[in-house]
Amino acid sequence: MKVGKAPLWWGFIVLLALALIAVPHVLDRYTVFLLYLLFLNIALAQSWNLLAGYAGLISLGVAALFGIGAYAAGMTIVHLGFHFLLGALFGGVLAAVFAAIVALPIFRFRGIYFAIATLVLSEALRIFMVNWKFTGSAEGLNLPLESGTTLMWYYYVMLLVAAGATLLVVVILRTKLGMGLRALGNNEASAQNMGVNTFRTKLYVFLLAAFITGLVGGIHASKMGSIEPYSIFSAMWTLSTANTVIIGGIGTVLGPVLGAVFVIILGELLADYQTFHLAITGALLILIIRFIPAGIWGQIGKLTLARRPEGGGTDAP
Amino acid sequence: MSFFTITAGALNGLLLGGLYAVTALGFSMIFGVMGLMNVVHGELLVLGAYLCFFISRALGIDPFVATLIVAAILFAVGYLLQSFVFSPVMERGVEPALLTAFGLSIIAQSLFLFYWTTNTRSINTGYSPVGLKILGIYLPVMYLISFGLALVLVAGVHLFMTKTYLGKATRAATQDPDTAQVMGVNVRRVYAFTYALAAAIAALGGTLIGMTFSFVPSSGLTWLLKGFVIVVLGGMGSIVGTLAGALLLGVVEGVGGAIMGTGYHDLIGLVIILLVLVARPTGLLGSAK
Repeated sequence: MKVGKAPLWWGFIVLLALALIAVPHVLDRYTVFLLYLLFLNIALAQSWNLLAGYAGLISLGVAALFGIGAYAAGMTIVHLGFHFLLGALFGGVLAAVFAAIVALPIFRFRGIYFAIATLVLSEALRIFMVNWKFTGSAEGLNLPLESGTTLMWYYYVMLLVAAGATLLVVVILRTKLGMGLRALGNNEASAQNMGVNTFRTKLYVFLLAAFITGLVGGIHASKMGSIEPYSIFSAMWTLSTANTVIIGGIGTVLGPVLGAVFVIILGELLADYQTFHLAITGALLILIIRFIPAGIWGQIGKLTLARRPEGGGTDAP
Repeated sequence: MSFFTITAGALNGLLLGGLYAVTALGFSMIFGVMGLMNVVHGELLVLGAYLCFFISRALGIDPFVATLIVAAILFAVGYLLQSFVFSPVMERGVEPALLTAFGLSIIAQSLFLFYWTTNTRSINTGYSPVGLKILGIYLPVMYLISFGLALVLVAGVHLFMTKTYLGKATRAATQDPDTAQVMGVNVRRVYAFTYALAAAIAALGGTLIGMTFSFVPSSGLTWLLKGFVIVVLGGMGSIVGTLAGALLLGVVEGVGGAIMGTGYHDLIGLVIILLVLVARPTGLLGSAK
């Protein structure tokens, strides 16, 4: 059976790719926008999972990197006339540079201290941006409409980013970096004893995750057309990303994808009950952590037994 | 900006530090005793503020009297939360409990929003907006009340922890839960009691926030972060350290706000914390365990 499995996978991926390329020509605008959000969620979730699921770094600072990307893109597009793609790329790079600067102090923290430090960082940045006149303080920025960029454009760009992020995780797990990462996620001290340079391993994935998160923030800033610090640096980005990964299955490649699909569908089902949407999401998070800590995909893996979830950190988020 | 404004900022900050201590005490206790980073603490404070707001209005009583009722309610809420929500996941490590608290915080925020809308509220009494002028420095009376309450509360909790059986059992469970269990301490109940006590203190913290400032459903995060800063400054989980950390934060914010402008008031503490943590990951006053 094993011989036939790989071509089957490839066939599935090719079909899926063709379908995803074709759908925006067929579906209505709203559905295309939902798919855009789905890809956005997948990309953020993949980069968060790289940190939390594999390196054991629970980051509550997604909003910080997302916001830096959004503002870097916004500022270069508005003031330097960058094309939105170039602006978004710059956003990703700046987020990675920021991550590199804070990495040294922030990696001194372990476990929950790391989590809280990233949350503090993210809030500090939000308060700073509300006050900073250079970026338009509390009012934020209005981005010019890109000529010729339609929703379909953003759809394809975000599809590419989501697919790229997923592929990146798959590739990383097969390299030496990935092996170090798994060892690190299981037990940092013993990974160090086995000769893994844990600081460098953490740094690489932190920078990669920051780049993706910043890039997504930059694209989304351009898509939204206007940004202001309260929503861009909102802890909601962090929450929805962590939620997506935990629901789907932390420390698995397909978990974030499945989680994102689940979260988007749930959001649609609860569209008429906006007020309870968040409360239900929170309750779901608590229930999943309590009863199926491996997440949906992790649980499927456990039930079928044949397929072990990839990576180490599947037992607890 | 003169020497006078800085002195005024420092003195106001010191008194405000008392309020900070009350709001952070429960957070510090829970962290110190059971190692739980209780990120829903901010929402407990906000819940305390809302309940005090409505109960004092409905019964026509002073907010501080209403706080006694609110504290009893939050005590029960805390006991149940720890027993049925946190306890089962805490055995699996700190991260699941942290994320569970995160989930609770979202649920609480959206329920506040649903029931009590985004309206900015504050608890008003005849004396809450009043201030005294001492040596030409204006001091809000609420700051003075908070400061006094903080001293009493910290002393009370400290005595409780050192003199009573439950306090001693709590400290035993803090040092080594397994050994304490063997020695006949019901660790689960000690944890539930600690959470309940912390929530009850948060009721008072919420009242002070509501009377001194104002609050909205999402106010919790600001206060949670202040609590975190205080706990780090004062050493993780130390009761007296919490008071010291809170006063320090108050003074630094007060002086910083006087120099840089009030818009950056809340940012100052967060920046300091990051700098302090870089130098001393166990906190400013904490011992390296």
